[in-house]
Amino acid sequence: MTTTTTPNHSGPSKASAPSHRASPAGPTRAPGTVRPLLDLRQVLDTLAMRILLAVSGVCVLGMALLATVLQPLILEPDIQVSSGGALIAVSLVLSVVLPVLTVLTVAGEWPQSIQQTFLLRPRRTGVLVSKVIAALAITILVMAVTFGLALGLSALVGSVSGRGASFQNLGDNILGLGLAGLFSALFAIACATLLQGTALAMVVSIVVPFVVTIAGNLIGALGSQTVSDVLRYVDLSTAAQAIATNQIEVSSIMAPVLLIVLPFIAGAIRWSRREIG
Amino acid sequence: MTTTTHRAADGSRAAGSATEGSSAGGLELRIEGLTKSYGEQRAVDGLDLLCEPGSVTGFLGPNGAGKSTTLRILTGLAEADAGHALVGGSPFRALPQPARTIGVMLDARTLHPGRTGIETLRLAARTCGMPASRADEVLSLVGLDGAGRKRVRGYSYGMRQRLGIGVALIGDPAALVLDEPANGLDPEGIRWMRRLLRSFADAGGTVLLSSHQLHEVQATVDRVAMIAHGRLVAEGTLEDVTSQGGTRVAATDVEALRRAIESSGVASTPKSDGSFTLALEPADVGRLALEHSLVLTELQRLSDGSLEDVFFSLTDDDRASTAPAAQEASA
Repeated sequence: MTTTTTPNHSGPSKASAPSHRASPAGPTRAPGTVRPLLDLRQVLDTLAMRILLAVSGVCVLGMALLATVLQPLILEPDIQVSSGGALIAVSLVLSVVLPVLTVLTVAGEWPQSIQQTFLLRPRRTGVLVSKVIAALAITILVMAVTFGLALGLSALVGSVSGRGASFQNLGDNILGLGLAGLFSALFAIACATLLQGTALAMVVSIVVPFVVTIAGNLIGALGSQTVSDVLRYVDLSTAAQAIATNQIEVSSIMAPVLLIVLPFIAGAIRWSRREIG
Repeated sequence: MTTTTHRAADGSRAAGSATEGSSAGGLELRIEGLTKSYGEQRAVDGLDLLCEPGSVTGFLGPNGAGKSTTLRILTGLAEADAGHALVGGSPFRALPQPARTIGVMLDARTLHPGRTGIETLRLAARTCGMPASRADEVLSLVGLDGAGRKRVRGYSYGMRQRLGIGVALIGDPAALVLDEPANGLDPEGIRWMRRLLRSFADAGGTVLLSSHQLHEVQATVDRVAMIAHGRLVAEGTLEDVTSQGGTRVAATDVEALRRAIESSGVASTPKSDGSFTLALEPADVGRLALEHSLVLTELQRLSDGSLEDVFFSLTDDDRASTAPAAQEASA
């Protein structure tokens, strides 16, 4: 389009209006609906996300250092630095970091800024799919970097201390912890989609898995096997381990269905229908 | 006889109203029989409105009249219970490239506070397939050159309004929908916005402008649509609306007067003292009374020719109503 410019002697700049014609700086392409790269840029460009990523990086690095550097100091001299221990340690950090990152990616614009997004991209289901893909991309990238950091530090500390590093059951460890991390992120995505607010979604997605796992273990230890068995139907951590070790039970299928699939479907319906503004 | 048009309860456009269909090359905004309720409360009640290319339409009404609800339905943020709100013949959500068709600024407070101004525009440009250079162009256009790298949370309300207008303009749309765009703007900014909208419309664009600032509206718009309690109470060119404004009328037989008004189809507002405000000239009200053999006890022109006077005369009461059949006020 050309830009019609009228002189403005008092305004902030020139008062001009688009002329609804082809512009010299014209459109580059017709945009689609599902645009995860755009959503990634949208979320990474906010101050909140940058601060969060920096804090997450420090926490992950700190935990990885603790989990590896401390091993030569507290373990017997002939015991190798355990990469599995380092992976478990950083996974504890990820169980908080991943829900926060994914909730911010999916629901960070609710309830106010989402108006701007829907005015530019009114096909809401496409926006949701796009944000979910972006959240999963962040999840996989963060997990890969974190696990790589833990393994690299294990090898480095083992080498420097002269003990060497143990990578026993590495594949099983990564599969189990990776699946647990993925379930954690998916549960957070479901919470974000359903609740459409960052604070509540973060609290629920972090607290519920912890409470369920701890309660299941406590109740099992206290002897109430029935209640413990029931709790397994909503225990994503146990379900992830069961699937990773190929010991799949009904509960290990039902847990992701009850905590991820059903809330996400309900959330997607609410997402597409909720009135904005 | 005045030429102001009035709404029919059945949604039909009164004679003498805007021409049906869109102008060549332009984009019309058409609202037909729009109805929306929240529980028992009817926010929009059978609203009809047409905004044509090359015009700036002022959308006026008191708080709670249904303006924002109407604009949200028009822009796909809410769904109507009945009726249609179409942008160039299509619902907003069905537009292939909405930002390249219609620019919208409803609430500048919804701009993400954690982004910089220039990044906000670049993201909007990228979203609608415009080049990044368009963001710099628009940033300059809205007078925020020096504040582009500042985060939106540090912007004043007026600066956010400018940025919101910039986002609306980013896709070089053929229509603009702005809700209270002058809020927070200083006098220079208001003057700038007025020129912007004028040149936009003069270039063939369609503008729907909602505002409480009646003096600003009067200085900017070509056409006016006034609503009260979700119903259109007056519509027409600015001159037509301000030339008649309203007439207060009372009769010895209130019910007979009510029936006469309803049978005429003229927009009216009942007052608590039994009188009515009609969007008619006193002479036309007198003819109406004569036709129905009514004894009038009051017949008073309310408008002094200002939009503000017309606004209050047509909307300021317990409730507003429109008669069942539309008609040209001058009929």
